Amino acid sequence: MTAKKPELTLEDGMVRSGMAYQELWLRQVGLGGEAGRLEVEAYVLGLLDVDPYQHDLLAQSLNEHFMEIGEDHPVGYWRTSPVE
Amino acid sequence: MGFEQLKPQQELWTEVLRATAGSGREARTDSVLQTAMTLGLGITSATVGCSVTEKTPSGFHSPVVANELSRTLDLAQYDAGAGPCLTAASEGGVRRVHMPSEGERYAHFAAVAEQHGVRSSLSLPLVGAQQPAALNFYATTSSVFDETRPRQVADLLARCVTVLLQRGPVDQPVPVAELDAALARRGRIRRAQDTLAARLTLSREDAFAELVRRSRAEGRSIHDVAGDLCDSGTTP
Repeated sequence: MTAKKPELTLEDGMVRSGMAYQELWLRQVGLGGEAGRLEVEAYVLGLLDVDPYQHDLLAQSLNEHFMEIGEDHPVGYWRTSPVE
Repeated sequence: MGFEQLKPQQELWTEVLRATAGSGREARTDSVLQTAMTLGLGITSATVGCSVTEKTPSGFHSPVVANELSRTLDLAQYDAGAGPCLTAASEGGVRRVHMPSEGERYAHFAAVAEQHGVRSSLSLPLVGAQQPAALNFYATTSSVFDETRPRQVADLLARCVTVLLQRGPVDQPVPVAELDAALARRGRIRRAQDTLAARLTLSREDAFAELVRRSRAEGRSIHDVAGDLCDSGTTP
C-alpha cells in the first residue's frame, strides 16, 4: 500500500510555485473568481477566512500552473464533486 | 486597550481590504488607516509600534500611528534628521535595523529605541504613494523581521496603506491582452458551469467541483475540459 502524498496548502503551493500574486489573481479571474488582488494575497496568507469555493478557485489556479510543469494537482481542494 | 484591538484580526483585515477595494473609501480612510496600524501591531507578538512616515515640502511627519510609542520613535528620527523611516521614505529601499549592532548609523533613534526596549525596526517604502512615504514597524526582539511570514504580511499591509493614502489603486496595470485572455477563459468556465449545472442539477459551486474532478481524472487543464463542454454542448 502506498501512502497518499500530503497535499499542499494554498500558502505552501504559492511558495513552491514561485508565482507572483498578480499571476495568481489573473488565473483566478480566468476561473471565474471575484476576489481582488490584495484579497487573494490575504486568503493565501490565511489572514482572511476563505470560503470553500474561493479556496478551490485558488487551489485550481495553482494546480493549473503545476500541471503545466508536469505535476499532478499537488495543492489540496476543499470540496469534492457530488458526481463522484 | 482600544476597541479595535479587541476585534478579531480577520475582521480588521476584512475592513481594510474592503476599503482598498473602494466601498466607502473617501469617508472612511482615516479610520481605516488607524485599523491598518492596529493590524501592524499584530504582525508578530513582539511588535509594539507601527506608523506611517510621509515626506512633505515642510518635512517629515506621521499622518497615522498605532500608539504613542510609535510617535515617539518616529519623532526621534525626524528630530535627528536620520532614521530608517526617513531613509525608506526618501530613498525607496526597505530598511531593517537591529539594535544596538546596526543602530550606529542612527545613533539618536537607537538611543531612544533602547530606552523603550525596542530592539528592531522595519521600514517599507510605500511604492506608488504620491508623497515619499514608508510604513514602519517596531519590535522588542532583534530578529523578528528577518522571518518570511511577518515580512509577507508587512508587505501586504504596506500595499493596503498605499492604496488608502492614495485613495486609488497602485498596482501595476495588467496588460490588456492578458486581461482579455483571462476574461475569455472566464467566459468558457462560466458557460461550462452553467451547462453542467443545468444537465446534472448542480449548483454553480458543485459544477466547478465537477470541472475540477474531470480535470484531475483526465489529466488536462480545466480550461480544456470547459472548452470541450462548451464546444460539444453535451454532457458525457
